[in-house]
Amino acid sequence: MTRLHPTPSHEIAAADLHGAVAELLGEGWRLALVAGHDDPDALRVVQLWLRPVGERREIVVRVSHEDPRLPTLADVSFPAGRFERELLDLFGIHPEGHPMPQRLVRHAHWPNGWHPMRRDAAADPVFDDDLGSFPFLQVAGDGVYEIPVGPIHAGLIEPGHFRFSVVGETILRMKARLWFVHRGMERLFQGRTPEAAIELAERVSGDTAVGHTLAFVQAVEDALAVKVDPETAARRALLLELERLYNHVSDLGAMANDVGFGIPHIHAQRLRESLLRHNAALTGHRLLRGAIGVGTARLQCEPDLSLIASVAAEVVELAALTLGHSVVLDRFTRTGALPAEQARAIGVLGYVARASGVSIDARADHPSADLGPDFVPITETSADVRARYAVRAREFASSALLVPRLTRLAAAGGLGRSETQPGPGRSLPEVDPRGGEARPTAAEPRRPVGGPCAGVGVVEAWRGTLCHRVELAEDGTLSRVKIVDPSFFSWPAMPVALADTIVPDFPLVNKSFNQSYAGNDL
Amino acid sequence: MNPVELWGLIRRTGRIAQPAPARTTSPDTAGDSAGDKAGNTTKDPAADSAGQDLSVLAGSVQVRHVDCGSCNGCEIEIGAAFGPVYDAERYGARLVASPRHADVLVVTGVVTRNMARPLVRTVEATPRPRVVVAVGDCAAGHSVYAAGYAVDGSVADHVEVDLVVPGCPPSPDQIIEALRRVTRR
Ligand code: SF4
Repeated sequence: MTRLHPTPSHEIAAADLHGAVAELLGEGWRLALVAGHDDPDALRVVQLWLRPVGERREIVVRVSHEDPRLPTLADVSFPAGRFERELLDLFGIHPEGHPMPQRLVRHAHWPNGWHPMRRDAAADPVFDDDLGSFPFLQVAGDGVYEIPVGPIHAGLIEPGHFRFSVVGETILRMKARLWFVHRGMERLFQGRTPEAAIELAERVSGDTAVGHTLAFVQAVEDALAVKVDPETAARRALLLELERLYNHVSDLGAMANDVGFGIPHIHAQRLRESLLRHNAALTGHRLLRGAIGVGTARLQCEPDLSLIASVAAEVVELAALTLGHSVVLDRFTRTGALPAEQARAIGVLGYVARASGVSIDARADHPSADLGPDFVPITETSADVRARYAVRAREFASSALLVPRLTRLAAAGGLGRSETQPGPGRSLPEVDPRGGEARPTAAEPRRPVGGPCAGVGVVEAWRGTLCHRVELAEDGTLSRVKIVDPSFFSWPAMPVALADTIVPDFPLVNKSFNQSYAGNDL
Repeated sequence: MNPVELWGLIRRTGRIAQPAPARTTSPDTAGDSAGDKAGNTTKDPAADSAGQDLSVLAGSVQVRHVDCGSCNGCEIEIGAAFGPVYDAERYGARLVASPRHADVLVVTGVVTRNMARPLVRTVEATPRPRVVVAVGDCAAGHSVYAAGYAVDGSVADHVEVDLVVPGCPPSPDQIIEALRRVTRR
């Protein structure tokens, strides 16, 4: 395939993969995404590697349709081993020597040998009856018993199945089975124009509409070499912070609620509602949909800076009330600890990583907007529920401070709509807000220059670093979209943090992680 | 924690719940679903599709939520509907932890291959009389995911649906309005 996008890409032989990956890991690179592709002549695997600041690199390996096998990387990289299980399910590429090659995406009733991302996958294969029986490792011993939970949980949350092996009250081991809300998102993108796929990107994970849409359009712009002006970039960064604000405030309330301190929860929900209404005024949608397009970002009005400042002041007050409560602090402290070493080995992202002292934040590591000299990723070191609470509380304050700055930067570009009237004392720049090109209609998409192309988008969404990688066919339609929500990296850390935690603390630890099922399951 | 500060916060904020919007179902016509339909052709955004008499549960209903393939956007708005501002509980609707305690199932999302069976079993576990409310465009059968290889139809293909709340996601007000058609309050 012709490679036009700026990420350096190296094709290597399957036999050299292990050595190459070990070398990259030694040089401080992080595996961010692995995408399978079913090309006419071979199966192709693309790995995206990232390194601060702003460095990207891709590794490509091909295997034949007849003998689709790759040496496993699970021994050097835990996330690589998880991507391999995904590749096995969706593309039928076997990871040789994988210590645990069980199904991940396809549940037990999915047909053997049916790999839905293959071109020749039957459209409507026969599924077995879903008996909901999962083989789980049984922990034996005196007084050990199992608690199965889900897929439908007691609260207002998404579906997943958890199996606890417990002695007394203490969790010995917990296993999670996810992919209950696997919808086949990635293949739904295929064949659409980027413009027509925005509605999908906005619905990968409802609470991360901005994060996913932004990573997606960045990937498309990367592929098509569409330049985005600084005002548009600022407007997008602003939307990303507004998404962080409404999600963080509800987590702060919910964590207090999970230890029985309900009043901050009520007030956090009140504050979230005012933020959701502000979102609606700004973008026409409470979940900030509809604002971001390829080359564009549009707002319907200026952000209400005094509202954001007053909500931020109230969040400071709620956090002080919560952490100042000795019972709350007792429940938060040393609960669900994830030591930095384990956080690094598993590859967790976002506030979970930062609460374990791992400073990883795409806003600093892979910046796409100017957040100013004062912006620094927020970390804590105690690695427990308290740290995950504190990181969120401090990030709320930091995001609230970014809002006026980004509003100022974005203001030079108006609201990003061509129909916007220039306000008094402010004139609209001459740039077309849609990236300097006439807007292509659905029937006539932007065509890649010089054949098929690929691009990558990296965004610090509220849960952590989120990547999309797209490939565009010659006619400008999407031929492949790979999505990696930070939840894919962070979910496996929860069972680790739960070891030796008591069962009644599970909801609290789970809330402190608050990973996305929809984003993970795709 | 300083209790004085907590009291200060509560006092300063005052009442959080917004004033209750007027009921769209008048109590006179609310008694039977035929009158219901006649009286609400234009005003009521929630359509009663199965024709079940919804008044059977009037007064107080226990609600269980089932996500069978949502993007989690609908969950945000259901959460808001039961939160302090919209306060669904004042109309007699309360979230419960098990389908065995529930009168109403609020179902979101398209039905994925991996959730079809749990959905059916959850509905079976809910005692009768029960009301199934499909919340959101996905649950209503107009999902952006409909063509996905891991999707197995929509909610109505698997269980009987009594009320539909359209929207992507529906607003908390719309969700409350549908619940009030069941609680009659
Ligand atoms: S209706 Fe919309 S918000 Fe609700 S689950 Fe479907 S896509 Fe998400």
